Amino acid sequence: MGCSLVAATIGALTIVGWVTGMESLASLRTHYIPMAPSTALCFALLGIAINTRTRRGSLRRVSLACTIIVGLVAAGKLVEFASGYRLGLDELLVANPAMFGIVRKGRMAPITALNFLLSTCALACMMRASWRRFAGFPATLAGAISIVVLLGYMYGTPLLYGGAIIPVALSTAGAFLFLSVSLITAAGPDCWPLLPLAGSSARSLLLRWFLPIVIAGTIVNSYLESRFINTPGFNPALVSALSTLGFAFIISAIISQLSRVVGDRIDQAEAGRRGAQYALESLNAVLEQRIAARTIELRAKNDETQRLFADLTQSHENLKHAQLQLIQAEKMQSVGNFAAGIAHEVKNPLAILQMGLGCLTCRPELDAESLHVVYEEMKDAVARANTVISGLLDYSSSKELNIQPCQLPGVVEQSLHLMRHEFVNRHITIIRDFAPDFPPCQIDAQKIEQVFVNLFTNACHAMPKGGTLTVAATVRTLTAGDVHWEAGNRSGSRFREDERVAVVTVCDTGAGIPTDQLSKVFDPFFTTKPTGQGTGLGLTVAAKIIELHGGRLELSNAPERGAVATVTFHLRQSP
Amino acid sequence: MKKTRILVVDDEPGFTRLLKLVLQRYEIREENDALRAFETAQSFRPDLILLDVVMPGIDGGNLAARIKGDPLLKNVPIVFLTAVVSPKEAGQHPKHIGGFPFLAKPVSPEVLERCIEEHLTPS
Repeated sequence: MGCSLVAATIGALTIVGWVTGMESLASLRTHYIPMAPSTALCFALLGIAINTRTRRGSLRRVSLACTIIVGLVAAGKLVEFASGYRLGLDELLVANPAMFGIVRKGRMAPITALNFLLSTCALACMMRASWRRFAGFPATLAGAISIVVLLGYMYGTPLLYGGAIIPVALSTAGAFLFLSVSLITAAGPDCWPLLPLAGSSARSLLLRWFLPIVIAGTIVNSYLESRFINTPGFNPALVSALSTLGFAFIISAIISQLSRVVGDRIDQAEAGRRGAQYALESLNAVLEQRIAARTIELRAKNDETQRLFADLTQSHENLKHAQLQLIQAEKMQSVGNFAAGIAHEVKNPLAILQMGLGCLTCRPELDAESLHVVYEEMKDAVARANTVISGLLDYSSSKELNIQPCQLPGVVEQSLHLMRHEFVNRHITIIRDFAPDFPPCQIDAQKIEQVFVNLFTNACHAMPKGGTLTVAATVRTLTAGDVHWEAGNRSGSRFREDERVAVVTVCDTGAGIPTDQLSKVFDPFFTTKPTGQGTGLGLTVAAKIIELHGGRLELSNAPERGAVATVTFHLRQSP
Repeated sequence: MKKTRILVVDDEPGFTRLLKLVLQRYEIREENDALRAFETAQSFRPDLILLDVVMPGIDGGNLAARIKGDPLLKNVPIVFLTAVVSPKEAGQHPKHIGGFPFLAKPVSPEVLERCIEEHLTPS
């Protein structure tokens, strides 16, 4: 802000000089061309523009207006010089000025107009935040031009401040230098050219020290040489030596100072780096120790894991082996149980027959009554053996089915009819509960008849003193609970949720089945009946037949009393 | 002369009935209910017991153990009659299974009688 005020003051003093006739205020020295009034006015306006730039409201508009006016004047002057057409801008202020050599005084130089244009460009860039970073370029260029002009005056070289055209006044160049500094400062340290100079980096530090001193030293040295070497009374060699010595002294002093500052910084940085390196090495050593310890730990765990894995693999192999042995043992036990069942059921009648033969051969003295007993026992034994063998044949031949669409209630009714005498003899009451409109089922009627006869026979044996046999046939849809138990069933005929099925239940009022024997009721030769009443093959054969139909036979105890046999059939096409 | 008493425990009434007709030289007591056999033995005080193996209620092995645990019956010889032993097994173990002599069904009256006599007079 101070620099801009200096520039504006120079402009104002020039205007005063023109108004009062004190030309020295405008030209500084009598043989220098004075600053034109239009130039002075522009400096004053730019000074106002720079100082009101950051204000708000009407002052900001004043700044903008001043900038535009100066820009238009500068552009107008450049147009005048380029086209030769006189716009009469200077003539408004000084109509008939005196001559300065071949040019008129009071006229703005084209270099001055160019510098004003550059300055207004810099100011315009600062009006918008996004353009601010470009403001330094025109401002620096304007400053460089002003320095060249000043050097021209310093060295007494008119070519540098005008040549054959209107020259730039010394005060104008000085004012521009201040104005440029002001504009560069206003652009800020984050914009070129201050950007590389700002901050605490080594680069900016070196630039801040060397750049001004080299520029100043070069200018001063050159000035001294040009000013005094050819001047009478001065020893050129002495002047050159003194200026070189002085310059060398200043440079040395600066380098010394700079070395101290930079050296300190480097030393500090080096000390910091060493400290950090030491800390890093310490940390690294600790880390390596930890890694080594962890590696040992991990290796031990890995060994342990491998050992456990080997144990697990061995255990798995052993388990597989044991499982195979178990399966084999189970198979052998099944075969053994089956053979033992056959042996028991067949050998006992054979034993009776053998004993009967013994009676007939060894005891000829037996009376008629005893002989009758012998014959009856032998006859029963033959019948029993025959029943067992027939049951076995049924079991083995039940794989062949003659599937036909049949009315399941009709088949059940036929089975009841076959058993009617048994029911009457045992005082068993029959209750039928058959659903109407029963759909046809794909079954082997004869085999299913055999199944129900078996179930009814079991029911009769369970009710030796009479009772009630309830037979129900329904069609219903299976729920999740109905099919839950089949989760592990791999057969293709498993029942599924929401499937429509035909269900027949046979419920007696007997003693039921002991809970611990429920799982054995389908085993061959398993029976809870007294000896001679059952072969233990009835339910085995029945279950086999139902299985061949893709159905399900379940036996359970009723909540109140008695046993319930439930037969379930698919209503779709049977397998 | 007092007849030798033999208790036949078997769930086959036909077999025991015919056995009684064949072995008339002995006093035979039939027992077709294995669960009542121990009490029958205590009251009958047999000289020998013929015992079936597979029976409903209690099997012959357990019944034999119970009889051998009774102070009054512990010295009564027991001969098993079983239908679940194969001829091959019978060949391998001609006399004893589980410490008891046995006969495999079907058995002829002569073999049965010989066996009874053999075990009534222990060698």
